[in-house]
Amino acid sequence: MNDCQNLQELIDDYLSDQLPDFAKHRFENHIRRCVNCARLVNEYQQAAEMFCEAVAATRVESSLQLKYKLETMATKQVKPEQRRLQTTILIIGLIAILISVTSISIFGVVAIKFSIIFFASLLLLSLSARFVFQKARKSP
Amino acid sequence: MLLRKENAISDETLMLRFGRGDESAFQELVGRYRDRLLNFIYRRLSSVELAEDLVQETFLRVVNAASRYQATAKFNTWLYTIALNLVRNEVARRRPPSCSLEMANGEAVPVGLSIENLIDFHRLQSLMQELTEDHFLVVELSFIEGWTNQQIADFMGCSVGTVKSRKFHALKELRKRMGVQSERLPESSRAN
Repeated sequence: MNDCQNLQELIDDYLSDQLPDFAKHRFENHIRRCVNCARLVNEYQQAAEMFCEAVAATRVESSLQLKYKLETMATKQVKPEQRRLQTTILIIGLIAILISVTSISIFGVVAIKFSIIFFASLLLLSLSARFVFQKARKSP
Repeated sequence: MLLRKENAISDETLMLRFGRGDESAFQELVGRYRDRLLNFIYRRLSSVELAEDLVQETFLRVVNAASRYQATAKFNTWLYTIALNLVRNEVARRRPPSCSLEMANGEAVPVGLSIENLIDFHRLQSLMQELTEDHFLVVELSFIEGWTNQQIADFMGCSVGTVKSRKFHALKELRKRMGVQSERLPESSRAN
C-alpha cells in the first residue's frame, strides 16, 4: 500500500500531532512530492481550523455564581471518613448511656460519679478524634 | 489549534486524593474542567444558564462518587460521560419522545449573546447540522478538547480505527461545507 492510500490513516494523526517523528517526516516528505495529497491535507487542516474557530467564537465563561457553587460544593459534602467517625462516636455514646443507666440502676448513687467521669473521658476522646481527623484532612 | 496540556498531577491522582478527603484536589479538578464542560454542554443546549446547572449537577455526581472512585478509566472520559448523559436526558425531557437527539437545534435561541456572537453561534450550529452527532463529537473531542484517539474510542465505545474513520469523514464533510459556502455566497447575493 503506497502513501497516498494510507492518507486516511495518517492524515488524522498528522493533524492531531500524534505521528511519531519518523512517520511524520515520511508523511511530510510525501506531501512535498504529491500535489493531490498536499492539497487534501491543506483542505483538511483548514476545515479543522475553521471548526475550531467556529467553536472558539461561541465560547462562554462560567459565572461567579457557578464558581462559588462549585467551590463550596466539596466543603458542604460529608466525607466518608467523617461519616464513619460520626457513626463510631454515636455507637460509643449509645453504649456509654446504656452502661451508665445499667450501673446507676445496679449500684445507685456511687455509679453517678463513675458515669460523669466516663462521659467526660468520652467527650475528650471525641474532641481528640475530631482534631486528628481535621488535621489529616488538611494534609494532602 | 490543539488545547492539549501537560499537568503535573494526573486527574486520576487528584480524584483519588479527593476521595480521601483532600478538598484542594477537587478544586484543582474544577479549575481544569469547569469552563471546558460548560462550553461542551452549552454547544448542545444553547443556554448558558442551563449549561451551568448541568455543570453543577455533573460535579455533584463526581463529589457523591468520590469515595467509590477507582482509577480504572480516565477521569475526563468518566466526567464527560456523566455530562453527555445529563445533556441527553435534558434534551429528551425538553422534546417530544418521537424526536431524535440532534446536536443542536437551529430554532434554539442562545441566551445572553451579543449580535456578533449570535452570528457565530448560528455559524457553528449550521456546521453542526452538517455532521452527525458522532462525527461532531469526534472532531470536538479531538480538536477542541485535545483527546487522543484511544480516549475518544473509550468514551464512545468503539475502536480507534472507527474514531479515525469518523474524524476523516467529519473533516471531509466540513471541507465540503467550506466549498459549498464559498459557492453559495454569490447565489444568495444574487437572490438579494
